[in-house]
Amino acid sequence: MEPAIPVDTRRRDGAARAGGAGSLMVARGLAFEYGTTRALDGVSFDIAPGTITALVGPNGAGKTTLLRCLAVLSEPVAGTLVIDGVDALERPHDAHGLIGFLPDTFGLYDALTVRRCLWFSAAAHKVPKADRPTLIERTAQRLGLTDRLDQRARALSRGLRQRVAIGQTLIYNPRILLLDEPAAGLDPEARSDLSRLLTDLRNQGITLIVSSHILTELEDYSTDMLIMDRGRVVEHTPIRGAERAQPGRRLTLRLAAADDRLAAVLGGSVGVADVAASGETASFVFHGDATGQAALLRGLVGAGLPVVEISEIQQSMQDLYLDRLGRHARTAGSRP
Amino acid sequence: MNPEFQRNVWLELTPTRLAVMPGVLFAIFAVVVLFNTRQGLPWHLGLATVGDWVLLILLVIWGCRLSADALLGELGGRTWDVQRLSAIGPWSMTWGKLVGGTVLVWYGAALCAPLMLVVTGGDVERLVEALLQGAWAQAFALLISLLVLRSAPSRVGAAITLIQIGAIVFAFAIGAGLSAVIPDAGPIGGIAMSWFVWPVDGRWFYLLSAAAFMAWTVVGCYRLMRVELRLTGFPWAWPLFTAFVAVYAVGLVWGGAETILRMVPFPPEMATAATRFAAVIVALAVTVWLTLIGVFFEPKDLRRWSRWATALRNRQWLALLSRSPGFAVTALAAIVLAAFAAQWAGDLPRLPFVDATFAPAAFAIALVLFMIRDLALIYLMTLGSRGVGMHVLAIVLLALWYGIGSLLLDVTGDQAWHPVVLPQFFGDPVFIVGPVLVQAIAAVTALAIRVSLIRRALARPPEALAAA
Repeated sequence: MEPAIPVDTRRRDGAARAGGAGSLMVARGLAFEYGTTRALDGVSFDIAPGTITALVGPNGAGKTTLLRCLAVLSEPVAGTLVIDGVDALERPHDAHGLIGFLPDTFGLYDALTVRRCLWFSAAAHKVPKADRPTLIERTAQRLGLTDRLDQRARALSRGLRQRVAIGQTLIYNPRILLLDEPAAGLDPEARSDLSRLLTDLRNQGITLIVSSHILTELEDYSTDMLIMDRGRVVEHTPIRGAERAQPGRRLTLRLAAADDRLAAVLGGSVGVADVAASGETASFVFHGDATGQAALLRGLVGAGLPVVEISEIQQSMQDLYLDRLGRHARTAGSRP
Repeated sequence: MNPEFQRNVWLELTPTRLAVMPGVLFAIFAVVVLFNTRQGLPWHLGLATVGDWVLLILLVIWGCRLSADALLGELGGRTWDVQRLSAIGPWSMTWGKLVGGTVLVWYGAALCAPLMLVVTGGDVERLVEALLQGAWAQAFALLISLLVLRSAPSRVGAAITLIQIGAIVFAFAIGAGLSAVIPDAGPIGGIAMSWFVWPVDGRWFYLLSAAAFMAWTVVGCYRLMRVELRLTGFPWAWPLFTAFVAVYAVGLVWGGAETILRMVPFPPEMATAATRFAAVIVALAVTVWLTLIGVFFEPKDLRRWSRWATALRNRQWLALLSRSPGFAVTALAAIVLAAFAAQWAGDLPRLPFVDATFAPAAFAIALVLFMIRDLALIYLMTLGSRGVGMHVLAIVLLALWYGIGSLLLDVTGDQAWHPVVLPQFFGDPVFIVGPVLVQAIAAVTALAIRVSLIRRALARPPEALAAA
């Protein structure tokens, strides 16, 4: 049974909020199939406004399918999706006005000039005619395209084409922007520009979901990470220091010399879990603050262990991703 | 201005094309005039025929390609998703593509039209016929493109070419088809015929019929566009179209019957009963056929039916109606018409020259049972299918059943098996209705089992689903 999501079924202007408290997007139990292959299986998560969520996972995890479902371009066979209070699966056309979707192919009319591409997008989203020239100039300026406005889209580099495509979505001011592999095929400079651009967009209040394989770049601007594997959500977590909703911090400990009692003593200490000890080193998850950590150190020294160092392991996004994916694989493998 | 139309005008009416089109047309007509002058023939000889061909090439051959490309080209250019996310409504999207995508060939036709009127001595009907043929074929190409779009073909160019060929064949077939049912529709027409009790000019009736069916094709495009843009609404279009075709066909039959009855002096009450029964049987046959055709226009996704079932469970009647497919409404209409036909069959006069085994009521009931069987079979094969493959297979199987099956029975001359393959007018009512009743029950049961299996599979983990 899917949990019920409160939805305002009356409004069409996207003004009020619904779904999870403060969430801009609420997905519950989304399932999608290609024939008899389940591409998404019970996908549920909440997206808070003003976040950049990195959507990551191995090939075939269902990232693109999920993005297409979130853009209400593909219809799931089961589940619910509420975007800014609009039941997106019941009223897809209303939801479309809240969403900007940037496919990996950008979706540009190559034979049109940049100005006409932007005009078409503005007109297609019912931006008032009188506002269009100003908005086109402003969007071009925002994206560094002012001197390209009268060039055809096909004459631009991949990085600039991507900017035009982003401009096409920004011109109608969507609440949430979905990007599928935006960094693919970009040179390092264009990737760096993209990173800055996405951060700027977030600062301007746009919520973003970005699917990518390049985790090091996602780390520069993402606030959350949604890990998927085989159509299921493995983990959805903040990835910025204190915001991270992990059950504890992973610490590493080093002794002056190996001690056989290390694992037992650590395992018996308050707030310690998931101990992995080998020789003179050990890593473990510690549930507690700095005072608790000091008490732990006193306890270990008191037990006669020659402790040299206790430090927190700073996991990169890639470490976190591999760790969670590995755990998921082990859990899935241990199922009968 | 409609942004979709504006975008197409930008792309299609480039300054180069605007200049080249009149140049090419002038060259074609100039060659004919030059040839005539050199041969000492009247300068305008053959210009009308060449004009007909130019319009055919522009509006039908090229126009159908442009119309299909206006939609499927979006798939090739990966821009369709962007369009679906836009706020452009289904009607604006439909005419923006239909008129905007083909604006170049209409520009050419507009240049040809005055010349055609001059060289044909002001034959407006001839020009209107050519323009209607082109517009209808282009609308048909867009309609088929909207259906093909659902399967997201990987070879877009090949799909466009196939649709273009199909629409060209359609353009010729509709001309022949309408000419067949309207005997005086040819170019030398002008002889009066009757539609119901009203005498009409054959050629103008042909043109009006073509215009009406073209308009319905555009309505069809609009409705399919609504589905593509994920808009729901009441299923009015297909039932109204079915009603239109039924009334149109009944009018032709009625007109024909009036003509026959003027020649054969039946008693008035017998004539009325016979005409009334003929009308209801024609309406029933049209409704059954269009119900079966209508199934192929509807998406077969499970979620839609799941929502339909939810509305039924919750007794939300308006939601239930808005989630119902158009063919469901026409199927109900067919059942009602069959009931009337069975009732009115009792009033038919027993004529000495008609076989004593004449069983019109059984025929009407069998016709509806065949419809129910075929609906179940089509859904059995296509439920949950996103591609066109299973739909094509279903069409082929039905064509084989009705075409080859009845042909084989005709060849073998075994009358006893006829009711198994086709509804029959003559025979024991039990043997007319019985076999198809068994088939209909079997098909509906099989469909119910399949739906149940799919629902169970959806509730299982993906590994189990893949294994199933």
